[in-house]
Amino acid sequence: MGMPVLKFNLAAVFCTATLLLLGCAFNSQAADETPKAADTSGAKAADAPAAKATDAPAAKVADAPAKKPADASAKVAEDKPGDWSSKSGAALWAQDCRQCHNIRSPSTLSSAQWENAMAQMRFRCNLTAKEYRKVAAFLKAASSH
Amino acid sequence: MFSARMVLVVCLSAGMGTVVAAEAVTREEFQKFVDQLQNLAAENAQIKAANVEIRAENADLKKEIAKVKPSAITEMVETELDKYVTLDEFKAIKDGVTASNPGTTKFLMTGSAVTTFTAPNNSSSQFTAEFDPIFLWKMSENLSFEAEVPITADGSVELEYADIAYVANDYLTIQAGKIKSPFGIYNMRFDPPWMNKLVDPPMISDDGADGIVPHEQVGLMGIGAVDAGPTKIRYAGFVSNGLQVDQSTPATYGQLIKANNADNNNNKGIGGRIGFLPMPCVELGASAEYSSNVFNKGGPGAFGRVLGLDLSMNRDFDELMGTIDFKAEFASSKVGANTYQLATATPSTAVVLNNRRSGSYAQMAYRPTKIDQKWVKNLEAAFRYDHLSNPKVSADMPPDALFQRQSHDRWTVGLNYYLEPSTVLKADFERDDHGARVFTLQYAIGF
Repeated sequence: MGMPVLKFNLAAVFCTATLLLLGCAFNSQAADETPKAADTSGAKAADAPAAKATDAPAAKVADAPAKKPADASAKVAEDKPGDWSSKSGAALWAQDCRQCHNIRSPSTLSSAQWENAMAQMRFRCNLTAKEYRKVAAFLKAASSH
Repeated sequence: MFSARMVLVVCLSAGMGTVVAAEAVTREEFQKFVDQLQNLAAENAQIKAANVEIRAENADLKKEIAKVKPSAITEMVETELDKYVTLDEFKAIKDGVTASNPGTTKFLMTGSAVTTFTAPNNSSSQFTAEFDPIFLWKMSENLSFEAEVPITADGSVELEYADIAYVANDYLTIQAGKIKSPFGIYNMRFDPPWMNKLVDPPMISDDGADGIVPHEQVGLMGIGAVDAGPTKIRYAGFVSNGLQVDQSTPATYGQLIKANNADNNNNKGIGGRIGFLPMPCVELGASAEYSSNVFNKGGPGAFGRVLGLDLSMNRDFDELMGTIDFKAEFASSKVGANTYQLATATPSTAVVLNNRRSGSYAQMAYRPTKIDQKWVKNLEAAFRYDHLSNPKVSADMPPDALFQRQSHDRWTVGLNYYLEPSTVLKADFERDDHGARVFTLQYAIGF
């Protein structure tokens, strides 16, 4: 095993260890990821028919001020007006999801199903923690049951 | 008692009146009045006695009531109320019952299904079908599992990805297992057929020999995103079994394999992607992967790397009365020059220098979402241009590898009709600069 290969393997191991350490160091920050921030404005937007939701531009969806998650820890910054994730769950749903696919009506899945689906969307679509919590809360509130 | 007294007074008054009015009363009449008076007195005495008993009972009841504590009353009332369910409690119970149904709580099956009819000009037409179930299992608030297992009509089953995701904190999710490569935008996000605007994938993302983008990684990945004021940054980095060179057939030798299910040389690969979203509808991204050795252990040894750039935009335009979806990617791969040991017999060895490949595509789709007619707004037109550059053909190139070693240009136009947001009918026509003409129809559904 030559020196460059050894260095490369060491770098790979270092990256792995760094990832794990980062995860452990900030683990307490993610103690409770339950999206409890009920987004009532989003629930209203869900009344729109599925066909309209498919075509709805972000601007047409209710964009009420977002609520701070009830379980937010001290380390989670509060919403700042103008920040990417400061919009309501409904607005983020209409804004983010359409970048990849047509928007599906929240009523197509149940609350429990949305919770599962959003757990995957969080990393598949690189959602920020706030985006994930707000969109998940909106979809669960506006789901079929 | 009051009523008894009144009767007595009335009776006496009546009697006296009679005596005064008549002024002469017989003894019998007087005795009769006296008897009546005595009867009334006896009745009055009985009433008084009864009144005393009632007072005694009333006092006993007051004592009993005084013995009962207010908390006991509250408890008794609450016990009664517990027999009834409030609306919120009913909803919670309903959610609980619904959540206990198979497929709705810890586990969810989603995915897509697709049927494609392909009619090329140089071979026979055919139908193909594929079912891509995705299994999601949320084990806890921070832990989840995902897996996709495509099944095709010919019976082949493949493990597209299967990984455990752990949400370490607000900024980092760690995935372990066989994961989708965070390379570019198509592979990670637009691969499902109901999301892809055209039937075929871009040439650089193709799963066949032409592709450049690594599809899957077996290893460990950290992924996340963070607000940067009004903008957003996406990031992902991984350590995996690394890139591997294809030595299986002359047609593809020198190219990099799209997956790395096993490590062939004890050298790990690293890579990742960073994306910047200056506004909600636009993303710019850069991707990379590097391995110090892509040959089998004990082989000649040469590095491999893949680089990529991407741009995507999805935005409504009032002037166009619709939505424009634009995507473009560039990817290049390079394998260090060396002697390629082929697994096949002929030729036993070959040398390829400047083994650099690159490719790109630009795709645009338009959907008239602001037109009132429903059938019109469900239509979508799409166009894509693909380009692929391969190394120049060397003198010792096997004949059957010639096509793979030439550059390709491909144009595809398509018309889509969305029956539902995740159900689409596609009709595409495709031609390339090598004379291929292909007409395809596809019915895709996401569920």
